[in-house]
Amino acid sequence: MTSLSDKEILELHDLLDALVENNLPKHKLVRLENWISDNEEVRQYYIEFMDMSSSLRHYAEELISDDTEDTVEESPANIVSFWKPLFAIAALVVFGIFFNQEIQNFSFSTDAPKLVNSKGDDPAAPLERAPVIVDTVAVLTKSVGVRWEDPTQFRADLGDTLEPSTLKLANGLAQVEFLQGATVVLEGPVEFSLENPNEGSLARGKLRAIVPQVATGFTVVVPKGRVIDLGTDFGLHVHAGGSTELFVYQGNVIYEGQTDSGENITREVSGGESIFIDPYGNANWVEMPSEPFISAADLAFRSMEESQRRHSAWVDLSNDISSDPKTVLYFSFDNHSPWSRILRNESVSNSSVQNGAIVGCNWSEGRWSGKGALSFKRKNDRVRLQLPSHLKSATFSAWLKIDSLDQSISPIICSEPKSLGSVCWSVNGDGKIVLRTRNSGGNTFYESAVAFRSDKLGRWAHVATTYNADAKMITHYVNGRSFSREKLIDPVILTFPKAMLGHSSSTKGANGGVALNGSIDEFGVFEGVYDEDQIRRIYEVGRPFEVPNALGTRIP
Amino acid sequence: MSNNVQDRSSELVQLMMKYQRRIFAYIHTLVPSRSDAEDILQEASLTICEKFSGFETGTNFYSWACQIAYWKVRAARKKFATSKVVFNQEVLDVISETRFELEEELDTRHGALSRCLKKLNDRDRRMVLTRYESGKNVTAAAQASGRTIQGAYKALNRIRKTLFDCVSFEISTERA
Repeated sequence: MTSLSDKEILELHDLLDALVENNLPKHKLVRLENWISDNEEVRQYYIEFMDMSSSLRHYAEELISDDTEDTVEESPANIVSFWKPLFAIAALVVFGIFFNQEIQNFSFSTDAPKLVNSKGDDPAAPLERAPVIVDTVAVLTKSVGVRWEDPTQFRADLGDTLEPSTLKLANGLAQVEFLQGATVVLEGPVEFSLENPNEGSLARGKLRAIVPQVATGFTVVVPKGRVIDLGTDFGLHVHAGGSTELFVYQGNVIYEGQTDSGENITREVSGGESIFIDPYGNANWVEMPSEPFISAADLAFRSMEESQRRHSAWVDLSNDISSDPKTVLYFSFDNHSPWSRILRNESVSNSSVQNGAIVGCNWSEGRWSGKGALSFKRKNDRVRLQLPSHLKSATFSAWLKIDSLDQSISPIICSEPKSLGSVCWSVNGDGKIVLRTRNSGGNTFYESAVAFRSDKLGRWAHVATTYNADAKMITHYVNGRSFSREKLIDPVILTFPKAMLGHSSSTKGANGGVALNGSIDEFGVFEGVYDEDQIRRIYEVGRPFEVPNALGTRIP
Repeated sequence: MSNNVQDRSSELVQLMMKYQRRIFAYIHTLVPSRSDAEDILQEASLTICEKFSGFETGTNFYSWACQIAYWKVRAARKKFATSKVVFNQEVLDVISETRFELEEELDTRHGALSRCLKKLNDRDRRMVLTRYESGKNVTAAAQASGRTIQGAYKALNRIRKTLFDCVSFEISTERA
């Protein structure tokens, strides 16, 4: 049995998904039919998928007789309720009324048990939710000076999509955008849990919530109740002792809770008003919150300050790379005019290496505002290079954003393939980083494990590969970390005849070549082998520091 | 009605209750359109009742019932000839054969799915179960979850993948 690649599994899943929704075009049905017929693993996947569809129908029918969603356990009673209508018809036909009566008696005696709603109607009751699996609810879009409380536990990186989880910040500010549209600014120290795309819970600390109309109903659970937003802007502070302050800047918010003595409390709080809920759940109107809340605008300002600081750090690093004698070729993509057709080689010590000639590609925005990048879209887009170097060992480094992996390769730098030692560095259709070299016996491909899954597409990532002839080792790096290693077979001196950035002219079946479907905003070739610390420094200093339009394409 | 007839009818009720889900699942594997599969289940159920006197107690009821269902599917091919989701006979046979080999695992997966459904958030669980309720379509699922139709298709795709992966993971954990 052959093993399906990740890409094939995704394709198969999409085919089956369309199949069960009656959306599968004829030519794709033929593809699926042949695939099922020829491949045992596909056949098994298909059967398991369709069986799951049957099981979902079964569980859905179970719940019809009971509106609650809190159980999907199988029970004999539920089987009866599912089967009853169908079987009664059959029984009537064959065995007559007596038999039918028996079924009715049977189903009556095994009626579905009364199910308990674990949430109840008490708004202050702790929410008893099942743990949630892979299921995005929000995105971390800004962070300034964040220090996580426990580095060994879950810690999100900027731009990460967030599943239901708890964020514990010891310090700093973080902005989280929920998929439904609400934005929350957390101010450390804080403990905030993401429950679903329109709900979170604040165990302690401060937050400011900005809720557009589309996210009306955004809810934050606090120790003695919950705050339900009606389209507004509010601040919440849960103190260590369990008391809560709520201040509404604009619009209206409803607080629902329960005191320790069992009294239900409901307060509608309007713009400019504030309430204090003591540790026993009693709510009192107060004049002003004890401390101000950080707004999204404040955070944006602080974020901008940090951006400037980090941009300066990157410029320093960029200058270091430019002046390093081991730098053979270095494109920072910075300070180019939008109409420039020359890509400047910043390597000061390798004058033999010329600037690149931009063909077709457009200038676009790079990892941060004001940073240049080249975008490769059409099949002839490329930067022609003149790179006469001969390297025994080398390091390749690039910041790139791949928009799609729907072609066989996404070239980063490729030279013509027939000369001994010629190099092509790319990401293949499965999302693996590949270094191809030409040896005396033909091409050798050094592939990493899968580095680009769908969650990495459309986002900036740093990749690097080292070719170590002495240690006979190829190492691939993703985002500053060693990702996979392979033994180097038959080392050659690396050459770059007719090299092109973002383009390969020799891909099988691609008439005229293939361009990277994405963008590059920093690229370097270095003589010798960079170690992990050096590569991590390039990543750490250069990683993007904000996520523009993070939710632009994520709302389902 | 004699005691013997009562006993047989009682036996049939018990067997049908035990195996009806699996019989439907078997048909659905051969006929991916849910409504078509339900039609065939109805027809097969009638035939199972009619022919139950020929079933030998103690032998494999599920296999026997699936044979009836298989012939119902074959007979229905003409009816479904214009449908875009029916496989050719050769593929039907190979699917049917493979499915029997997987029965035990499929039962385990069914149980695991129940656990995985619990792990979904409320909105997604409500949506996917609405989609699979009798007579409900994607529009109903979209309304139940406050999504657009297009968004609902995307979300259902994602949820099915999540559930499938979760079930596979649960199974592998059980085996470990």
